[in-house]
Order: sequence, then C-alpha cells, then structure tokens
Amino acid sequence: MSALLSIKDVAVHYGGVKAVDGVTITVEQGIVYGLVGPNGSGKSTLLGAISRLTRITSGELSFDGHDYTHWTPQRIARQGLGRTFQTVRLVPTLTVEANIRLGADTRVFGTGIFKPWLRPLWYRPRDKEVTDIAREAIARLELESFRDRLPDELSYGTQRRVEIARALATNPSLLLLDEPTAGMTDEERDSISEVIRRLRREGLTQILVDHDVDMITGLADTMGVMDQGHLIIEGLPRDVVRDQAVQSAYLGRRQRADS
Amino acid sequence: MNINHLYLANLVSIENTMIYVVLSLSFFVVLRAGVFSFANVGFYGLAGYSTAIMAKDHVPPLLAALIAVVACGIIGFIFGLSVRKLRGTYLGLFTIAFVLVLQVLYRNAGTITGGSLGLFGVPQFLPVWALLVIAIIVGVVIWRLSRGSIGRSFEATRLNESLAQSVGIEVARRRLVAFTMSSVLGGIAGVMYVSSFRSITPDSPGFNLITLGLTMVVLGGMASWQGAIVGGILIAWLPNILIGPLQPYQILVNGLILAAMVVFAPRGVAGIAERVYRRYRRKPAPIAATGGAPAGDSPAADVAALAEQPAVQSGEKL
Repeated sequence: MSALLSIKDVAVHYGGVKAVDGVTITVEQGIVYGLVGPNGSGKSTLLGAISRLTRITSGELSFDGHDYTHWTPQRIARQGLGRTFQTVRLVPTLTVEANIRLGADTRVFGTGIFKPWLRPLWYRPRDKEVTDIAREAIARLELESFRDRLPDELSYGTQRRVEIARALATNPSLLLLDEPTAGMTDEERDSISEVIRRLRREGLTQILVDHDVDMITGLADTMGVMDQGHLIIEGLPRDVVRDQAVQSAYLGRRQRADS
Repeated sequence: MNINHLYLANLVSIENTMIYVVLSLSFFVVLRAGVFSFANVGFYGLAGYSTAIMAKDHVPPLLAALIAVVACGIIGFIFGLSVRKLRGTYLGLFTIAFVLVLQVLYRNAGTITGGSLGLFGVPQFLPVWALLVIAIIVGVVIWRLSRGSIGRSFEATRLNESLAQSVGIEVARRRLVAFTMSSVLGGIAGVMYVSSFRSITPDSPGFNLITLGLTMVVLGGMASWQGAIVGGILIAWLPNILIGPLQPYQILVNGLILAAMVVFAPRGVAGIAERVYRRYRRKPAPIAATGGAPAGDSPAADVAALAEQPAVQSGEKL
C-alpha cells in the first residue's frame, strides 16, 4: 500500500486562534480514515486545508505524488479530490439532477467555456456522458424519486445524499466526507454507512469526519482524534477508543456535555 | 391611420426596445455570474462617444462602431483582470465610480466631446432592422450561454463559490468572461444608442442608466435571460403606458416599480411566470434540469449571494 495523501505539519491560524496546529497525517490508498473530535477541535478546518479551500499558515500537502501546497482548490479537485461540506452546499436554483451533473461537468467538458458554447456536435455526446455519470450517482444514493426536485423541497438528510452523489460524480480518488450523517434519521444513517462500506470495497479512499464515534469505529480502518487543533492520537479504532487521553479529552467531555 | 403611422409614432420606443434588451442582457451577464458590476454603463458611454468622435472625423461610422466595440472588449478584459480581487458591493461602488469619472471626463474634454452639450449630428448608420438583428443575435448568444454545463457553472459560481471550486470550476475565469462579455454588450448598446438618436450627451451614460438597467433586470427576474429581455421590453414601453399626468414622473415610477418588485416579487416577472407554470404542472420546470432558468421560491438567495460576498476572497469559515 502506498500513501495517497500525506500532509505534513499543517497549521491554520486565524490571528491568535490556532484552529489547526501542526497536524501530520498519511492516508494509505484504499482505506477509510476516520477523524473524530469535539466541536471546534479543527476537524472541518483540516478538511478545508486538505481541499485547499482554507488557506494554510504553514505545512506541506501532497496528493498522489503531487506537491499541491500552492494549488488552487479547483485544480486539486480536478486532480481527484472530492468533498462534501459540513453545512450542505447545493445550488438552490438547480434541480437535484442538475446539482449532481455539476460534479461531472468539468471532468467531461473541461474548464473552458467556448467549446461547449460554440460546438453543439462536440457538446452532445459529452452531455450524454454526463447524464450517465449523474444517473449512476443518483442510483447509488437512491435519489431516483427526487431527480427533478429542487434542494429546498428535500429533507436535510436527502440534501446530504445529493451532496455525496455530486462528490461521487467528480469521480474522486480521495473523498472527504464532512459529517455525512448529521441531521439524518437512524435509517438514513445506516444506508449512508452502507454506501461508505460499498465504496471502500470498490477501492475508494475516504476521510470521514463525524461526531459519532460508534459509526467511525465501525467504518474506519484508521482513526485519528483531534483536540484543540492537534491530532492527539492515531491508530486502529479499537485501540484508539480505549486510550486514556482520548477518554479524557473527547469522550469524557462529551459525556459531561450530554449529562 | 395605418401600420406605417403606428410605426412612426412609436419609433422611439421601438428603437429603445432593442437598445434596452441588449443593455439589460449586459447587466444580466455579470449579475448571473455573481459579479456586482455596472462597468457596462461606462462602456456604453465609451463606445457611444468614441463612435461619435470617429464618425465626425470622417471614419465610416460602421467601422467606427466596430472599432469601439472591439476596444470595449479589450479594455473590459484588462479592467476585469485588474479588479478580480474585488467582490460584492465593493466592486459595485468601484464600477459606479468608473461611470461617474467618465462623465466628468466627457464634460471637460472640450471640443472633442462637446462638453456638457455632447455630440450631435452623428449619421444614423444602423437602420431599425439592423438593431433588431443585433438584439436577436445577442439574445441567442446569451441563451446559448445559459444552457447546460455553462449555465450550471455560472449558477454555482454565483450562489456558492467554494462549492463551485470543489467540483473543479475555474470561478475567477468565469467571472472574467462574464465581465468582458458585459463590457462588449454595454458597448454594443451604446453604439446602437448613438446611431438611433444621432447624438450623445454626458448625461446619457450616467447613474440614471444604472438604475434603469437594474430596474429592467429586477423587473424581469435577475436569474434568467428571458426575464432580462422581458424587463428591457417593459421598461422601453413604460413611457407609452404611462398616460397623461403620470408621464413627467417616469423616473419616480421606475423607482417605485423597483422597490415594489424587490419586496413583492424578488424573482421578477420570470419568477411569477415560473411559479404559475409550476403550480399548473405540479412539478419543477424542466429547464432547470439543463441549467437554464431558475426555479423555486428562494428569492433571497440570488440577491443575498451578490450582496453578502466578502470584499476579498477568503477561506472557508472555521
């Protein structure tokens, strides 16, 4: 197994706030990497840094052999890094299917505007290809009955599934899922877990961020725990949850918060 | 009393219709891409004045117009490059300043621009049918740019930049294309104006034109090209509809329409049509599936997306 993603000493500081402070992670090809941690521990910021949407203060990023520390987010996205967002981001004026097509567009049409604009004969077969990719992603997340609906008309859980489908339509080699099951019913949660499992079997590398430690331990091959911007431990899920530092830093605090 | 008479009686409105449709689309093109810019009005004046100046200097007016429009494209591209970091209302204010500074220039450039009186006696080089042809060509170009993958990418660029980036869209390039295209369309509208009215004054490409253009786009529906065209046509014919005592208060009426639309129908005439259509069909309009017109009742989304952009691109929130 080789490393698909490796980040070194990544820090994201906002003024005096150290949202992420010197995190080093290596993600092997084909695994599911689970990242947990209390609110504000820097998980989502770290995903932002990995996808280049958040400017990093220092550190190095490397993906599939490319040093992409200074790339734009759209370039690393086209290189095969797909993601979903903690707060669902869909285009409210486009239907579910059009939102998912958005994922396949740049892959099939490229980034230019003039070819798809001026050359209908060039456009048509590619548009068909986009349709096929979108339909496949729709089928995968069981969204067939929502195809022509607008995002506003859907439940939060369904919107999340649309977002995952869009990320899959970009055909990523690494998928970042930021709290994919937040706001979902237990039933929807199980079906998303099943989707993640199936994608893993097909060899898709994933980084999964969630609050739900039970779900992460059930899905992840490697698990990391973040607290106050630091990665405090990393290892096999069953070892990590037994760790004393984790118990006090994360689980203990969560229990206190729950009670 | 026949068709010919009716045509001549309404000639100004007919010419205005074509000019306003192009002008309205020049507003639509940038707003649709999430770029809050009125630079097109500046280019309207630049193209109008330079055509008039060249025509008076015995350059064939059609050639002069062509040079003016091409120049608008080149200058617009460079302008767009230099303001690419400005966002939202900051860019809006900057481009309004651009328009106002140009007006000062026209007033004070002596005999070249004719000062406050402007330039008169420009030969009419575009007959009415040519205006119609231009408006149709511009309409077709914009329609083609609103379909399929291009339309989708513009929607995503306007409504959620980081989402657009996360699927690989080059948002900065999309904005630059929109800005340049808006400059060219503004220039075309200016050329159409100077040919139709055979004159141009410093007041024509000013703040009034900005509010007029905004009224068109808001009236028609900011997020669809059909709406922009409908808005342009409606505003062109408004003086004919306002009969009797209301006529002197046309600008006031425009303002009231703008305010009323923003409050009661933020998605404009196109939004109302869409809602009626969807109620009738009991399902979303299929155009949205190919990325063309907008749909749905989230009026705040478009306007908010424009207004709430940060001045300079920042990263994702904590």
